[in-house]
Amino acid sequence: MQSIVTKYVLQYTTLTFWVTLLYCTSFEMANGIKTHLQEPILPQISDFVALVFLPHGVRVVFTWLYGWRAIGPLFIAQIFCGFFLFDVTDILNLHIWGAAFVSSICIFIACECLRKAGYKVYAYETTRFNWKKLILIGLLGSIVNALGNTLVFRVYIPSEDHLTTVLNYIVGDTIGTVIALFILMYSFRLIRSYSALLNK
Amino acid sequence: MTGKEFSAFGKLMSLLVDMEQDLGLTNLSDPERRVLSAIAAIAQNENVMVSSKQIKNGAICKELADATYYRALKGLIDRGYISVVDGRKTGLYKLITTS
Repeated sequence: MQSIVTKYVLQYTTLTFWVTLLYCTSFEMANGIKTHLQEPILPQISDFVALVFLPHGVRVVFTWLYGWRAIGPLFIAQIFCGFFLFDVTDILNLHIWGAAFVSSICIFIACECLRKAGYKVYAYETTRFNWKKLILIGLLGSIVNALGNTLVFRVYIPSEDHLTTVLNYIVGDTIGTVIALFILMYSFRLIRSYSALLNK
Repeated sequence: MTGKEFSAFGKLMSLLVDMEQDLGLTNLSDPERRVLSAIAAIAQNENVMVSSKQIKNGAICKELADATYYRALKGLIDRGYISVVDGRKTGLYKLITTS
């Protein structure tokens, strides 16, 4: 019994580690794009929104692969990014916790909506899955995320900007998902080329 | 890599290969894609190594003629997608991973 518990704790810790690492890395990349490209070119976009939000791709991929089991690691990763990368010292900042909650469950909600509509969405339910459906999941999840986050941060966003912020969130998350998939695809190509080279 | 992690890796790899194919970035044939998907699907419960019999008898590759199937296997090995398990010439395959 103890070994089974240890095994699951170890698996969950490993998953949390990878999710947090990839989430924080993509968060930093998205931050860099926002600072060096978005803000100089499109200064009118709300400070809360990154138009290329790569961590949404991490949420999509891990929730697709692990289902509800990805929620915890994604929540931890989001909190980690919120408190450490942004240097938020107030650990009781309810907005950060609220945003982390919304962000970690948004893809799961999107997947469950699609399942209710009769689709098989998780990786463990199907043998083959079309990548375009993964982008659709990302888009649906971004709507949930946009509405949730705008609600959480509503006190910081002027009411006349709420709709624009929601739309910007959706665009940023969806572009982020597509670019994250491209990064993954090219990373796998690189690994394969290297492996093929070693095998020769 | 544990069985579950390997399964996730295989599923992700299969999805990304389909993506490459749709975007015209790779020229894997349909049988090659089928074999790759079959290996990724079987690896879900069978850990890292997958036997040729398991792949061929699975729903995805059942319709493939023997010659097409073996050509697809060889093509995937040559391109670095899969490899023969160490110490064997054929019969037992694994997806190529970083670890």
